[in-house]
Amino acid sequence: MEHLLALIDGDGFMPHGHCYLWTPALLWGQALSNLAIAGAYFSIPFALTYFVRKREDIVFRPMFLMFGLFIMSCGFTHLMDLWTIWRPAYWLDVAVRMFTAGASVSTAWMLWVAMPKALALPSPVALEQANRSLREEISARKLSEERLRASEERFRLLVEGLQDHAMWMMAPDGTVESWNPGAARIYGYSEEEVIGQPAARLYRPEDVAAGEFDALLARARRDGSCEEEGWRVRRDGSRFYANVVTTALHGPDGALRGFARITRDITQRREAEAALRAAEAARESQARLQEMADAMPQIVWTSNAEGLAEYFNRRWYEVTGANHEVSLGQGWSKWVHPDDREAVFESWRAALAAGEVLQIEERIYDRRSGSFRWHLARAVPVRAPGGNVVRWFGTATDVHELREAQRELQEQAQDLARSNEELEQFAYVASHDLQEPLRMVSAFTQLLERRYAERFDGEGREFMHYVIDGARGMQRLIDDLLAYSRIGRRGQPPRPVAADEALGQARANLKLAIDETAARIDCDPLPCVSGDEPQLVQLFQNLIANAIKFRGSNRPHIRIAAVRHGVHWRFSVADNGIGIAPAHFERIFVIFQRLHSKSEYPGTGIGLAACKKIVERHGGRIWVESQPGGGATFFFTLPAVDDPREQG
Amino acid sequence: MRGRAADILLVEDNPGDVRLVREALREGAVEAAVRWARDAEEALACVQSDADQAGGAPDLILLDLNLPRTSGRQVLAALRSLKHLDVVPIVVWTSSQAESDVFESYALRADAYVSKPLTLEELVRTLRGVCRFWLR
Repeated sequence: MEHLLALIDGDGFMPHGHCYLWTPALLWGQALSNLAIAGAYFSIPFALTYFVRKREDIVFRPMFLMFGLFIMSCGFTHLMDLWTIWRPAYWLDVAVRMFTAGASVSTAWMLWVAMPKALALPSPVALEQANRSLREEISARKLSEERLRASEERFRLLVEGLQDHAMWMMAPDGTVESWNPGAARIYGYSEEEVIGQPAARLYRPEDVAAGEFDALLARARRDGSCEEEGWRVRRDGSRFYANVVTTALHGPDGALRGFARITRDITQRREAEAALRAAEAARESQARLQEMADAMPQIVWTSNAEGLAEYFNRRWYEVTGANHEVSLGQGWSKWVHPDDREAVFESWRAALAAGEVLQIEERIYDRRSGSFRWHLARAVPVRAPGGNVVRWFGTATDVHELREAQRELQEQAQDLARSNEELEQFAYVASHDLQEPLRMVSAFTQLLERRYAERFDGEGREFMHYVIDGARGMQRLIDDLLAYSRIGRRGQPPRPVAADEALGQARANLKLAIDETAARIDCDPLPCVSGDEPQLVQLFQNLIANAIKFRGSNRPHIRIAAVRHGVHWRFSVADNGIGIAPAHFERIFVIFQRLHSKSEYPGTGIGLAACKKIVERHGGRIWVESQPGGGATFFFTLPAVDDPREQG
Repeated sequence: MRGRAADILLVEDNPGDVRLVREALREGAVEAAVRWARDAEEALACVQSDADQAGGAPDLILLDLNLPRTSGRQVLAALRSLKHLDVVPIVVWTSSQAESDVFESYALRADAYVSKPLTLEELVRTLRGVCRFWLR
């Protein structure tokens, strides 16, 4: 404190007033003028500060600060001049003066430095002009700014207002840069969630994996813009079908800045288009069906699930002459024969109740012939995937001719069966009744021969021989005829028969003939067939006997085999005999037909006819393949049956 | 064989057959007298008159099934209804080989069913056999 006061009061020096010899005028002149200067100097920084504050546009602001400092320090210098008149505080004075010197030199230096710039400062006139043009420019800019602002506003409103379009930007690397409410609505991502994220997440992973996203960016970069449609993925994982326009954005320097994208959800449109196409296809298909139904030669109709008719094809109207409205529902029944109506309705009701296929024959009025014609009506239920009957589809086919023909055929078949039966009956009765007188003839001629042969001369004995021989031949014929007629009359109902057992029996029956001729019989293992065993024995017996009989000069060699042909077995009996000319293939199976004289080959000509009758009675067929001199092979078919021996 | 000739009643409408039976019996050295009834009436009248004459009866009746008017089956039924003929063998002698005829004949209590043989030799053998069996 002492020191500080000493610094202000000065110590040891003479006050400056001594220099003025304490001359009051001089003292006070010095004092007042220095005070005035200091006062004025101190006001200047405030003025400058105020000026600088008010003039924000002021240039050389540091210069003004320095200038304020310089003036302020000058003001302190003058105050020190005033103080030192009475108090010799020269150390303080010199300190203030040194600070002022520093500020002055710095300000002067800055002034010189700033001089060129200061000189460049426009003059007030120029400034005024510049100001004016500046004002104009400002107003123009304001106007353009206003326009820009309005335009930006419009653009912002547009971008933000578009709810159906996602408008967003993507950086060149494919990350999302901007996001509008439409995008948020369409994709489900908020702006915060998606900005900076790769836009690939909006694509299906499989598409990204297939390189579609990268290919799209490459295409947009190459072509400037591209449009595509495809599936996109929302935030919640659901998918929608989008139309996307991608535009590559380039800066003034031509560098790629990013991509603008406009995305629309066109799922509904796509679905609507698909539905439209489907509807179109359905219409076309229906038209085609209708054409087809109309072109069909049958009556075609559909009814609802309750059985009420809804549609008839053209054929119905052609046949009946009915009109459309009257035919619908149950109106069609007016064209059904009155006698058939009840049965038709009854079976139709039953089919409706059971949901089962209906098939019935009914007479439908045909206006073209003016008569009722038989039709085969069928109705099939059409079911929904759940199984419920939704509709019935029906046809009615004119089977009048067919039915008539069938009836005729049936009558003919009945006639034929009756006639056959009568014929068999006749053959049986005839042969039986013929046998009675024949028995008399042969018995009495034998009696004659026995008792009177010695009394006959040679000629008498010859005649006797012919009588006996004739009676014997007739007896054979009658026996064969009886046997033949018995094939039909005395048949057993079919049952499984082991063919090799039947063959074995036949061979046993023929043992004598086989031994006599040293016939060789080779036989494959034979199957089981459905048949009448005694008749099958007879069949084999007749064929083998024939083979032996017509052996020619060779030792008989007979081969028997069987091959499976569907539901039948085809048997073959092949020999090495004299053979048969193809011209006679049919004839040999006709009863009493013979190809050779009785002296060559005795017989009545019944054997093969019996074979044919047996085979045909079994539902089979018999035929022969042969060449004269080349042996003969008889084939016949018999119905196959499971072998009961193999079934245990 | 008995000492006297056997009395055979042959019911048969065909005279040739009657002659054949007689000749065959002769050929077969069967001692028999053949009485002939040509139909049902004669047959019944014959056995009736036998009965009237001290309860007599033929030793054997040969009955053809094929008779005019009344069939052999009806004659068989009628003969079998007569008590005094119970012990008399009745052999159906016919040309029919129908199974139905065979079964029905036995059902009507015929003692045998024999088909008429087709040759003389067989006829002789058959009749000899029949007589040897039934005429004791």
